[in-house]
Amino acid sequence: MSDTRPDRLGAPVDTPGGTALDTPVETGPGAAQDLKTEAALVTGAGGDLRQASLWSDAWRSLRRNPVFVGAALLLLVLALMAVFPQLFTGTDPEDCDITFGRQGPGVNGSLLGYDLQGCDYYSNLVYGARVSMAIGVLVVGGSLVIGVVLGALSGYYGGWFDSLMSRITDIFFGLPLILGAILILNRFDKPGLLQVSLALIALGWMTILRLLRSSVISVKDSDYVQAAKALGASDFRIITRHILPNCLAPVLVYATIAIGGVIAAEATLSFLGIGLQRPSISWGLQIEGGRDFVRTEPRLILLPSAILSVTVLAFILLGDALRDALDPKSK
Amino acid sequence: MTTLPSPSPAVARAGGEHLLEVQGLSVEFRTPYGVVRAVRDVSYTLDRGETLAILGESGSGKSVSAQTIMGILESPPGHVTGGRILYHGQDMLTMPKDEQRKLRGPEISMVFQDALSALNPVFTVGAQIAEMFRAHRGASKKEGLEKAAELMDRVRIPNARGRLKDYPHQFSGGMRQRVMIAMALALDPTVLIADEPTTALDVTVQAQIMDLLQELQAENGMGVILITHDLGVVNEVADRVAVMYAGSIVETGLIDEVFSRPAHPYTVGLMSSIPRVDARDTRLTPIVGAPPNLARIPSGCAFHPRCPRAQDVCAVEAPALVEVAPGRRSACHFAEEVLSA
Amino acid sequence: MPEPLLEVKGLVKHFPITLGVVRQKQVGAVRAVDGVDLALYPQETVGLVGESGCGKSTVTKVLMALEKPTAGQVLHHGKDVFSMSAKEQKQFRRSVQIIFQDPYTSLNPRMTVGDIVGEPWEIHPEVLPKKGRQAAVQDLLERVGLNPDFINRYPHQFSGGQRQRIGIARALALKPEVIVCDEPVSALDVSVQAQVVNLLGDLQQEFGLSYLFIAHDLSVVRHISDRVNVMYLGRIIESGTNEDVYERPAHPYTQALLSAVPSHDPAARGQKKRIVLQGDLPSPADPPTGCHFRTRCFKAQDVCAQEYPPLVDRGQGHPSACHFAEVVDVVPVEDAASAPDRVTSLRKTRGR
Repeated sequence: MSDTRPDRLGAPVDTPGGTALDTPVETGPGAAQDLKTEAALVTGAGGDLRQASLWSDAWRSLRRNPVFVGAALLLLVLALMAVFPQLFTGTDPEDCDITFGRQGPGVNGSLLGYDLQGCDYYSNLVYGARVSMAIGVLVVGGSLVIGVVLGALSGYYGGWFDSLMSRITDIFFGLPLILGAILILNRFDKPGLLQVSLALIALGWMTILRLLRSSVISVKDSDYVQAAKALGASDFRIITRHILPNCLAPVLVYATIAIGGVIAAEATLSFLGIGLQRPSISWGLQIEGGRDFVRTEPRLILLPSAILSVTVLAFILLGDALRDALDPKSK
Repeated sequence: MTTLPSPSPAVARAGGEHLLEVQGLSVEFRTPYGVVRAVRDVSYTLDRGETLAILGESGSGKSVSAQTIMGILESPPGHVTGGRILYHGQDMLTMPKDEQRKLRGPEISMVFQDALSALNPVFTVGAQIAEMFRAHRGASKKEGLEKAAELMDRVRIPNARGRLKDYPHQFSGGMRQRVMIAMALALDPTVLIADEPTTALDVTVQAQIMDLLQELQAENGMGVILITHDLGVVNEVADRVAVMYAGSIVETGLIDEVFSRPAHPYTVGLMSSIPRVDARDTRLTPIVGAPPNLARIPSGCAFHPRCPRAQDVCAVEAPALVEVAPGRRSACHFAEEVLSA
Repeated sequence: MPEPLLEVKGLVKHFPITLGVVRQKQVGAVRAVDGVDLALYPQETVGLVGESGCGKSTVTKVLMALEKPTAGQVLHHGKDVFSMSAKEQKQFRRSVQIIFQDPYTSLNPRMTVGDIVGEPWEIHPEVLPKKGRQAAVQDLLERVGLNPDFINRYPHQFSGGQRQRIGIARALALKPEVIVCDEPVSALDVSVQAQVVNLLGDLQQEFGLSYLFIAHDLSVVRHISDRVNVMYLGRIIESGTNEDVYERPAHPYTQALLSAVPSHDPAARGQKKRIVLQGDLPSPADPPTGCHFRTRCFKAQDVCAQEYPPLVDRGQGHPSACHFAEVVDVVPVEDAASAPDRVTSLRKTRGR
């Protein structure tokens, strides 16, 4: 600072509570400041008026995390595959010729050979990404809508509504995934992407509701919520402006990881014949098609399994990295 | 920087050797966001039977030197970058780890602010105090509990024997603080470090705990380092005081002298910014601004941006902690003027 | 005397203790507030002091209509806050504001300073048209001593004292009559406390505010209050003007409290008669019979266990809830000028 003294108290922003560095056992309210916040100030005050916030701090640490960068790049490629499969293959996955059935790589210029029906295996893998990604996003998006709305109401108002929601989530938690999916999907004679997504939403919204409900409960008594109430703010305003923005971080972490789980669940259902049916294209169906040839043609199972595992893993790693970035104490 | 003299007339000292002596200690925290210099060239001494108060606000680094003495400095990110800690003339920082362990507990022990988190919630208080005797003195379980009951009685916990089997959460805040004091005193240490021992307590309970500490000190003649931000507590119990600001000691001396005639503008500012219970003053005189971030300590004298006396030299040159009157030191370019004001 | 702005009558707040999950059975109650009367007149500051667990925060919550009382009334200009029409309630929300203790939790971390200070106008849009709001926020920031250019920053970029100023600016936005200050300086550093105390004093002058000042720090309350109420275990045990309570305390608890406050003046050390209370605060779920303070009182007699002493003047000049109320000069008012000469002699008198 060039001038010797701030004429106004607001001038130096480099003035945190600093308690964390002083006494780790201090329990005063000031001690709520952890080292990270302290450190954010250090960087934030470097001269430019950077608006450091939870998300920008998180982004800074994510950018330097190789796991995050790797997982994000991989998912970017998979997302591209889902949206523009033509970029990756010129072959139509449905242009099948039974005479090429189970032919190996290299035959007729095929990169990874052909499946039982003589469809190009590589282009099937590429187009399979579309189904997986679509179901992952649809199911988690739908669960988020249900879980966030009901969880916020449940946590904020409590009372009979909360008790009712708790019992309903208990019931749904008690339903095994496969059994539940059979019950729901049997109602459709040929379940497609939408039906499978609905079934998975119906069986998967509960965790988000629980997560959100508990963070709403922990936030709703905080002083800034009390302050808004004392100003006469409406419940809607309190929930949307003050509570939800401070509750979403753990839910988003869970949702990211859950996309991986949903993709695996879809593959499982399709493999078991409960989910998508041919001629839909899905990694689960590909695995199913290759199961009789594990010994003779292992590639038929290994390739879709590998891409499925890698996708699921990428989402889990992404979620883990996100959690570490949003909650520095978990490191 | 030289070490502080210990002019306490109450304590006779042989051969100039202090019980505990911290010399030029510097500690920094290396965080991903920058180096935080929590303690910068801090020196002080402690003799038997005396109470040294380390007075500072949050972020002044007042607890860090004590954590270094106790070996509980979190490392990383904390690193000692210089200085010595002499206990009976031996440097604790360079001695082997197991030698250090023999000192911490039996010779030097510590009382924390938050007794609830300092005590283990899953063991009874009796077992926790007894453990001290079993670990350090090889006492049997029964002997340990016997000693624990004696100690709890000594810190004036009513019905001590009956409460041996209680868990920490079953005690009130004041009683828990007594339990922690009992644990700290279990092995009859010669140095007791009390880090904000009464900050979490109500004023009536605070009075009880400070009285207790003083009585216990009179009984066994230990040296006490009292770390606090509360000028009132310092005034009531300390013999000498070291005022810390932004990681350094800015003023030190006998409590009566420092508090009635401060020699550093920061001490002056502190004294005039707190309201009194025994007089109704019309307006307080606060210090402008806020304590600095230890990662970005101002140049020259760390206090200069807030100091009413600051001149150009203050932003450039850090004043040394020098003697301004017999037994008194101040780190201010204008200490003489502050003292005579 | 003018009509009080805000009045609390016979306030009782019990929190039920329940057992069982399905059929919750009430097995007892935490008697957080057990019959409290308070009145706040225009442009005065009323202090409410007490140690943790005495119920002062619960009084705040009910007073702000954030909790419903078990019994009793909160009157705003003579109207009961809990049976108001929506319109009257809105008016109440506009004219009574609150400042919280903890500057680290009282500001929404996801909102910018401008949004925080301007939110009152979004909730009460009739007070100020949208167009003038940004300038008004900047005015307010400047008024509480913050740089008005900081409106786009987030709370964590500020120090504790600066955050408390942001909270004060928010409370001022609707030009209230009353600000309830719930321990507004106890979380701040010593050197910063005085800044905020002075700021509150200046704002009171400028805007003609009334403060209800709730704190455990007796020195701060002494400094800022016109009238003072002392709470113990859910009840007010002594009430009077600042001078009544601090210079002529009549309740043994007030006397003990005052005597326990350490002074930072070396000359004052050893001058006061220390009354060290024995034991701990009893549980508010099971308060002692009769006088709540009798278990720790040095004056307790048989009658104290049987009869609660009402808060009345027994000839001591102000109300005190003690059967044996008697004014004792606990804290001698020091003549500051003569202090330094006595310092040297004092050291010898200190017993250790």
